[in-house]
Amino acid sequence: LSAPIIAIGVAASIIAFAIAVGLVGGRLKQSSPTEFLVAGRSLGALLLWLLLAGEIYTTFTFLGAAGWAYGKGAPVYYILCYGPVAYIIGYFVMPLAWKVGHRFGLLTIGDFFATRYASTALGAIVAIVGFVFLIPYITLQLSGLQTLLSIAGYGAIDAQLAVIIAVLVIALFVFATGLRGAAWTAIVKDAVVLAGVIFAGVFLPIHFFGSPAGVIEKVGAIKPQWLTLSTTDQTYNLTWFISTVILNGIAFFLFPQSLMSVYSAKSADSLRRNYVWLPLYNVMLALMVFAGLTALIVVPGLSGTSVDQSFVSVVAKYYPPWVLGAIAGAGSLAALVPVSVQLLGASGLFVKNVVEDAFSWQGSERQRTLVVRALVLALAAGALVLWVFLKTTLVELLLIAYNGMAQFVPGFAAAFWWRRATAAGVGAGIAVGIAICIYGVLAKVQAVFGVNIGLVALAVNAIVMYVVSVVTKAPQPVVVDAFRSAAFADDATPN
Amino acid sequence: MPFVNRDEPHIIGLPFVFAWIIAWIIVTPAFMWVIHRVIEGRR
Repeated sequence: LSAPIIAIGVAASIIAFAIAVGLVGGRLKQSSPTEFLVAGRSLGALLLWLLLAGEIYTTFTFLGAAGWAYGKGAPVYYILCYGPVAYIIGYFVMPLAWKVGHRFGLLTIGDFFATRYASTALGAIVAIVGFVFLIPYITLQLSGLQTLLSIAGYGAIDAQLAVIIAVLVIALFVFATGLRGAAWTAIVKDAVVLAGVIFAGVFLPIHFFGSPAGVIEKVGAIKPQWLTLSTTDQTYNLTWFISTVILNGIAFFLFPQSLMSVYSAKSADSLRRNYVWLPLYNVMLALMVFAGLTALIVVPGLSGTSVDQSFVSVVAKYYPPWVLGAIAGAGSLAALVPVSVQLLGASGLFVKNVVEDAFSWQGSERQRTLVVRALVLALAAGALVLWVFLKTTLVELLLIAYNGMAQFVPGFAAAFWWRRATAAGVGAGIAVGIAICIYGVLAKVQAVFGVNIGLVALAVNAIVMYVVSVVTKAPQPVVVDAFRSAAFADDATPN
Repeated sequence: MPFVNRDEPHIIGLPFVFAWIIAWIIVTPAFMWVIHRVIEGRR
């Protein structure tokens, strides 16, 4: 057997096994919208942990973190930091969002906005923006899959072919498993990815340098500037670092799927207990920094988007094909599971708040499934187009998605803490914020005076929201009071 | 951050800023747990 066949075969077996688990697990429950989108609001602390913690380990973790450690050095530390920041905010804010969701029977982030601001139009706008800004996230995972396939094929599969196979695998995976199925495959995924991360971050550096810290010494000797943040770099300096950690920390919960995960909790307290301990999971990400730095010494000379291949290239060069296959399989699952959850979440969001609520469409369960599948394909196609036109690293793709989702922050916060905020104000703020983000992507501007462009857009967004809210008609006090009293109710209050 | 953004001294072989970040990730749950207990106690 030749090397590519062994490597691809091992990877394909791992993926097939996960799909089989998903098929068995996915059969267990009937699908109502509540079951489909928020798992019947029934998840206790442990299952919730699996769902929330699993969101962190994606291809991005696997390739992107190592890629940036390789290509940029210290700016990669931001990936370790924003999770804990997000969880601290989540501890205090998400129980409020959960209680509102519980009281009003909300399913999506669009529902959240539509309810507080009494506007289906605003719900639809939020759904559309969330849907569109998920595309770079899908491109990220797609591009990760393509990288893994190309390397596991030892050059026998070219990038175009690999990316098309990747799209097909994603579609197959989503259609075969569904959301509850994806939750089951997440268990398989987390296990193999964890093994992969430990291999990459502990075993690799020990093999080449004697200890994980040994690699730091080597890097320090060759590129000392890689280990601390620059104060002189135009873009990725200390100001960028701090603003990005803040931005990502607060935008973390506003991805299409995120609020659904929150709503799937059984109680506000099971959420709180999770947010207390979730930061620990981020320690694992530090290992991928070691992997990237190891690659920097062992396979120097990669640049541009190929830095994302850095650590897998080391495996391809120094280890037998089956190890490469196992790593490629783990990495592929790390792409497929979050992608299918996010794709189904975004499509469900779009169907609920745009097709059903804004256009008052009512279809049978069967028609609904068809529309969701069509939207999944539309997203995958959009991601493919973006992959062709926007050649950028995995981390930069993720930052674009975060910048977009961050534009929901002012309206989300005002929902709880500013009575006077109106639908027109929030809508105008989002429109302006998104316009700035899109300009940033097109003009390739990542930061303004070192401040992450998404945070700049967020500030302008908040100002626009304030001004427009004040000059438009105040919202109905009844609606706002009902919303706020639900949010700030004691845990024990029966609903 | 500006004050800890430095390479020396190395802690268990890591640059100071890297070790600092990892230390905070580990300490955060401990703090959050204490806060959680205090808030729970008041309820």
